[in-house]
This record gives sequence, structure tokens and C-alpha cells, in this order.
Amino acid sequence: MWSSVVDGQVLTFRLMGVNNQNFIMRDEQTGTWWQQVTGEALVGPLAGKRLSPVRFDEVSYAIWSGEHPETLVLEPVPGKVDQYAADDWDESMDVPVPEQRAPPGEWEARRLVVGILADGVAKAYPMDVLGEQTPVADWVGDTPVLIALAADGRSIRAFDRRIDEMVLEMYAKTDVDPPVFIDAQTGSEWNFAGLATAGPLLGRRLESVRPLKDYWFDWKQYHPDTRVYTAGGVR
Amino acid sequence: MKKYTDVAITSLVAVGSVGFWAWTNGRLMPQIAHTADDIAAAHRLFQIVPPLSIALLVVGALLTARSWRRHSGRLFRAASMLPVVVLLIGVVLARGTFVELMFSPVDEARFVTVADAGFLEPEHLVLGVSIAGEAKAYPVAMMTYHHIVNDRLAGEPYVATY
Repeated sequence: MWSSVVDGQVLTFRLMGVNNQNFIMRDEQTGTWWQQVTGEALVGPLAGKRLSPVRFDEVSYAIWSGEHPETLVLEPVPGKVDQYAADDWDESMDVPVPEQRAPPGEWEARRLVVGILADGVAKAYPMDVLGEQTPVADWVGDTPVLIALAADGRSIRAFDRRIDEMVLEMYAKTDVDPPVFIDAQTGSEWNFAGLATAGPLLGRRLESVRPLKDYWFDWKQYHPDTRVYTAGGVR
Repeated sequence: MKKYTDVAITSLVAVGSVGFWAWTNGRLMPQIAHTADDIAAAHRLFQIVPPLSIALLVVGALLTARSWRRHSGRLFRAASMLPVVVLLIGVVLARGTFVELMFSPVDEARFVTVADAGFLEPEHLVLGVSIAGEAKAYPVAMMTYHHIVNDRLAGEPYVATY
């Protein structure tokens, strides 16, 4: 999700074509082409610019509407409803992966990962590993992160687990959904939106880190130097 | 047979117009990881498509007008209009792309409140945006079709993509 404003101009985006099973967008105002997943201008008058990310969440409707009862919901477009995908389309995707300039290496190409970018470092966390270990506390560059899935195994949140100068060690409370975390330092309780709801840090909020759910081959394509998180250890 | 020469040429021009559009789109279709050079070359080709489609329409229209002056007959004139219609379609196609026809991005999205969102199950995934106390949810299953929603929230313009 990207801000439409580049150099003070509001752009309207259209679909142009496909690169590596990811869309190329064209803006109507300048004719520049943009890679959807990276926000990078590939070619055209604005080549080399980047779109600014707009913070968004990929979570279940139950969690989102619970946190934002006033939310508006995109209405199905009449006549298009039978074109919409099944809700679990990404897990059942069986289209062959595109031919790669460089093979994706470590993992199976269509493994779903959560990609995190911080301090110029990219790191990929397999969804299945996150599902078993949630929440995962780790470092990406110099940023201590917390990556968590809800009980559905699909709703994702990621945070910077620093409050003031303190790096929090976080644990999940068992059998609650949406998840609740407790930090080891103060015993405060944190909800799935990153807000402390009880304890000494009540009212404090963890800063969000942008998680991107992607297929491994796609993440690797755009972040060739990505680090990978493995269940047995980190490298 | 001479009577149909202009119609035949116009037909070829029409096939060329739509064919060039399709071929240009094809440059960005095989779902491979394109190189930057491939993408730059495709970008140059796409610059040509709309003006070329209009130029070919003008050529076809002139040829057809000439054939109308030289020959009459209701059947002949109806037949001679067919390639012109294809050329018009070419002009319309040139304004967009194949993937856009396939997926139809949304510019004028309509939204409902939670009370009216019965079409959505609690466990369905959404992309949620929250700006300045306002919130919008885009069901993932719908976004996998539209891919692009040009939208605003709290006055901030953004593009919701998937």
C-alpha cells in the first residue's frame, strides 16, 4: 500500500503488466511504471523515485473490526463477485513459479514468508515457523523486532520491541486470541495492536514494523541479500 | 475483386493495429523475472501503441472513404465498415492493457460499515488501513482480483494494492 503523492503530485495507478508474477503499475499522470511490491519506479519520467509506504495490516476481519469498530469495508463490486478468489488462495496457489534469473536457494519457491526490512537489512521468516513459535523475538539490523501470528496462523503483526532504551523480551499468554504478550522486564500486558493494556507500561505503544507476506521466490528476487530465519537457529 | 482491394488493405491494417497492441502487451506477460532492459524496451514500445492505433485508424478510414466513393451497394458498405470497427476497438484497447481488462482496478470504491458487511466472515483476511482515527478494510479475496484501488482516507490519497 503506497501513498499516491510523489513530489507533490497525486498519481492515479493502473495495471500495466506482470514482472515475476508481480504487477507493474503505470501512473496516468506521468506514464511512469512502478513495481507494485517494492514501490520502485522502474522506467519513465519518475524513474528512480520510490513511493512512500502507507502502513497497513494483514489480519482477520474479526481482529481488524475488533480494533476498529468504526472501520469501513470495501463493498464487492457488482458483477465481479464471482471473480473473487477463495480466502485461502495464497496457500493453495499452484501456478508454477516464474523462471528466475537467480534460483531462490534456501527454501521451496512458494513457501510463504514474512519479510521484514529494517536498517537496510532484509530478513525472511517462514509463516509455518512463525505459526509454531509465535511470537518470534529477533533482530533485523539494529532493530529488535517482535513478529507474531494470531491463532488463525494468518493474521500478522510486527513491532519494534523497544520502549525508551529498554529492549523487551516478550512472551505470549497461552490460550488467548487475539494474542496477548507479557514482557519479562515489567510484566506489562500488550495486546495484538501493540498497546500495553495492563501493568507498569500501561498506555505505552510499540512502534509497528511493516511485515510483508510474500512468496519466498518473490521476496528473494527483490532482496537478494536477505537473511533467513530458521527454526533451529538464526543466520 | 478489385472492388474489395481497399477493404482488404484496411482489414490488414486493422489486424496490425490490434496485433501490435497484443504483441506489445505480450512483452510484459510471460510471467518471468524481466531484466531492467526488457522493461525499458517494453516501455518504449508502449509509447508507440496509442498514437499508432490512431494513425492506423486514419489510414483505414481514408481507404474506406475512397472505396465508398468508388463503389456502392449496401452489402459492400456494411462489409467495408467491419475493419474500421476493429480499428476503433484498437484505439480503445491502446488506452489500456490486457491485465487491466482482466482485473479492472477500482477508482470509485464503495464502502459499507461493519453492520452492513455481512458478506465478510470473521476469519477472512483483510488489508486494514488506519489514518488519523479513520479506518478502512480491503478484503484480500477481493483485492486478489482488483489488485488496485485508488483511494483516500482522512484526506490522504493512497493506492491500495495486492
